[in-house]
Amino acid sequence: MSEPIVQVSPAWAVLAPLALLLFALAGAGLNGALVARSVGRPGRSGASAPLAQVARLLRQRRQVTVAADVLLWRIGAGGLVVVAILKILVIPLGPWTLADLDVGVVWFNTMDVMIWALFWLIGWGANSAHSLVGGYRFLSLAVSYELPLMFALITPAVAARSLRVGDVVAAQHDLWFVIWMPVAFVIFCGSVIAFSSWGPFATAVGRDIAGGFLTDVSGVDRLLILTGRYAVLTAGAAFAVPLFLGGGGGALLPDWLWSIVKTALVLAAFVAIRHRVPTIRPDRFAEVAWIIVLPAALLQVLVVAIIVVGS
Amino acid sequence: MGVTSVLARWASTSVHVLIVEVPGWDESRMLLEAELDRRGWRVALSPADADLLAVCGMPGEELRAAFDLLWNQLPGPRTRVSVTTSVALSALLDAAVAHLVDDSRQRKDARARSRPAAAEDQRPDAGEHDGMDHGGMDHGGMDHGGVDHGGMDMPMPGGIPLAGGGDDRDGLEMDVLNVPLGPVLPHWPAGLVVDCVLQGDVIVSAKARVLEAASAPKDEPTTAVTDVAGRRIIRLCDDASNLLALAGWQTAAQNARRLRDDALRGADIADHAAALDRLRRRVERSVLLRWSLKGISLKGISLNEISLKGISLDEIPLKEIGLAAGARANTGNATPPDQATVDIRHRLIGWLREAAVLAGPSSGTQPPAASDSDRARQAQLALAALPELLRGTDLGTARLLIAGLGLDTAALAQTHEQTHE
Amino acid sequence: MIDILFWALAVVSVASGVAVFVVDSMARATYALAVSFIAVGIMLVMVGLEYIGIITILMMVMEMAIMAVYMVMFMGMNPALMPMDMTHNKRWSAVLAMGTFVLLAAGALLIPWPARVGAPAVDLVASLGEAIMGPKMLAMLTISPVLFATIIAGLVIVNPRGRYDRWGDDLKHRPPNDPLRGGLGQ
Repeated sequence: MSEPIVQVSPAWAVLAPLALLLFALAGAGLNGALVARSVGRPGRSGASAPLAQVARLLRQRRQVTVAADVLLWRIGAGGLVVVAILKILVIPLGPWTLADLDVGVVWFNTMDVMIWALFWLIGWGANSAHSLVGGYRFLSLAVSYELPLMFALITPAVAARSLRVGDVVAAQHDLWFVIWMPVAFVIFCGSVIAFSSWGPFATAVGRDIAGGFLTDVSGVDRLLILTGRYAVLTAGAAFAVPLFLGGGGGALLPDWLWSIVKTALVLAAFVAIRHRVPTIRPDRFAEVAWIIVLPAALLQVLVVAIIVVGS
Repeated sequence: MGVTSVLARWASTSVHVLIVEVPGWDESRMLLEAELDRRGWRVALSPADADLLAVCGMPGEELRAAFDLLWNQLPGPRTRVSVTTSVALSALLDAAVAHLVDDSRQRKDARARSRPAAAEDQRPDAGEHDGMDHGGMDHGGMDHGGVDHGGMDMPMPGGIPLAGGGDDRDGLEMDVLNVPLGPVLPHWPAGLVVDCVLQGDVIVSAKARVLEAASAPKDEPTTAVTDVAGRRIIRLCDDASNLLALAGWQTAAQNARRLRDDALRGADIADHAAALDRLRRRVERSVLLRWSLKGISLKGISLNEISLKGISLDEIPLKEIGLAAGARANTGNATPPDQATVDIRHRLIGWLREAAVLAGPSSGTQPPAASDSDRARQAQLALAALPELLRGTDLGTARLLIAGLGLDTAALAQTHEQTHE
Repeated sequence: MIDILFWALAVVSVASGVAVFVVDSMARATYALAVSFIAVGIMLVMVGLEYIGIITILMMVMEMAIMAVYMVMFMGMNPALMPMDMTHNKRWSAVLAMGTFVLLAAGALLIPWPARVGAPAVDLVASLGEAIMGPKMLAMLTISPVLFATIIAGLVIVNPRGRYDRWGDDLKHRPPNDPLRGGLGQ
């Protein structure tokens, strides 16, 4: 039922960012609806909140702080969307992909590392206390997010004996990886949420530090950062599909539609988790990441490697 | 022309409001917050995110200066309102929207401020900000940094002098920054300013003070709630909501806030008690919250003196408030009740439990109305204990501790008034 | 087209390398270096070394993000904000840099490079892994524990607080006496 992955003409690359932004907007709409419900308003009124927010931020002037490093600040703000777009280059939509890289999995991980730099730059650029605390909070936890993520990414690659995303999809023809590597899947999802500074891992933009690295950002910069966060979250959700959820594989529907449906479901789960789970305190997470999560990820790789070598 | 007006109309459906509260005017703030929820507007966490600055109450001189600084940090389009009465709240906000979408007025405002602002950007006078407290959210988070201002002949970008150094808690030398927290931060006691010396995000030392109101609200009650128990329930829910929000559990915080707003409106009392109890159970059951708040406690503060804001513990049987029971049920290792109550998580559960008991139909408990001087003394003790409490904590923990203290800054402001007159 | 891109990247990498010494801020210098590395990484991808190129970008951006923090930390938070000169000992470093450049450039231009014999492997990533991990496995297995032990030993030596400080003289004090509580109370 699932065809081999083929690389399509680069001309399609124009549509990819558009699709990404639509997904991001849908994610933001869902979030708006959930927020509206929590204050006792009908969810539908909240679903359009992202559009109002876009209009608001487009109208807003950019406020610059004293002695801000404007260049680095703007690079950080604009970079998130770019990184998210670069991420989806290697993510197949059904049978089609824009770039069938030999090392697609590593490519995705490289873009994650870019986020380390970008969030810190946003925090640094503003030159204000809370903003800096936010940037540093993210960077100091980035290693704790990154190492488990690396092993979670490597696990499907080990099972598929390839770093090419197409091969990973093909290897799930009979059985989705999420079934026999659930630990890696959970860690992957957690890390994607963490790298978007979202939900339980949103401490770098926490209320206790008055919005963290978002404290002093206004106008278009803020719009770019908020869009970028949703876009990164979307790209992460989309990558979970070829990596763990069998890519475009599924009954009845065409492959490309399955990719979209699965991505939407994962993204919805990511957005919803923000409204269910409290924030994980930043000063306490590192120990958990290193003592529990990382060994769990390593064990998962070990188990998968043994099964793959044995079979 | 068409595009800008469409944008303006869209934007005005979700106005972001920076709420600043003057000590003693919490009711105005709560009414405003409830109105914002009704309209689907959002509370801004910082001036950079705000379109509307809403001042709740009549600020004293120092507070007014702080608010003016904040006003300068609103990016614009911007407008400000002063909320001192609930009567015309809705009309007030409608007028604010009209002002916000009025492009020509906003453009004039932008032109007017761009000239002096540019001059300020080139050579802002660090002294001007001295001791000023724009909620730690100001442009120069690291201005007038440090113990020495010796590096005056160094280049000073933006007029910011060199920071001094000092040994941190691990014995390494680290830069020292003077950062005032308050008087305007999300979920922050009204008027409180904590002048912190920071190394990284760790507070080395702190001094706390309260900026005063120009006048207290007129005594006529603005809401349906006049009895002591009702007012206390509202306070407890507000405090719990703030603590939950700072702990990062937005849903539960929102839940507590809605219960507070219900109480503010004078909702059906039996339902209310049940809902409060449900929230309390939910908070109690959350494993993640327990883990997050573990070990954060108001050490070194004697609760017998401080008591839970207004009611000291020995005035109400422990069983009734359920503090002791809460401690037994959840820590596993039997904690003595008084120790349990200084634990932030147990205070939170205690607040919700007390609110549920007060709202309950059966109890009929009326907390003895604490006299003004009692409340003031307790708040004073809490304020005095703050520096010791915050020393060596990071910003996140410090915020939780301050929220857990449930500081009643209104009571403090009143004593100031008395001593001044 | 490809050639133009390649040369553009070459210019970017050199220019941002120069920028490291020209800019007056720690953060900018660090990230200028990161840009230089990214350009080099993309060039590596363009000559067909996808894995090496992308891994270069990954490692270097990660490294620069952390290095920026250390640069700022060692210079102090606020001095790092001061406009400052990124060059020291100018004359000798200039001589050294020029000498190295001339040597390397001369080498690159003057050495009679052999013509390529054989064809690149079909799967470059696999053959790279084979080359590193196949015959050199023993060396890897020896080096990595040594490196790891060095890191641990270094940390143990510089850490001012040992386990006796944390867990008491009989190592029985629980939870440990730390300035901040960890997530597991370890």
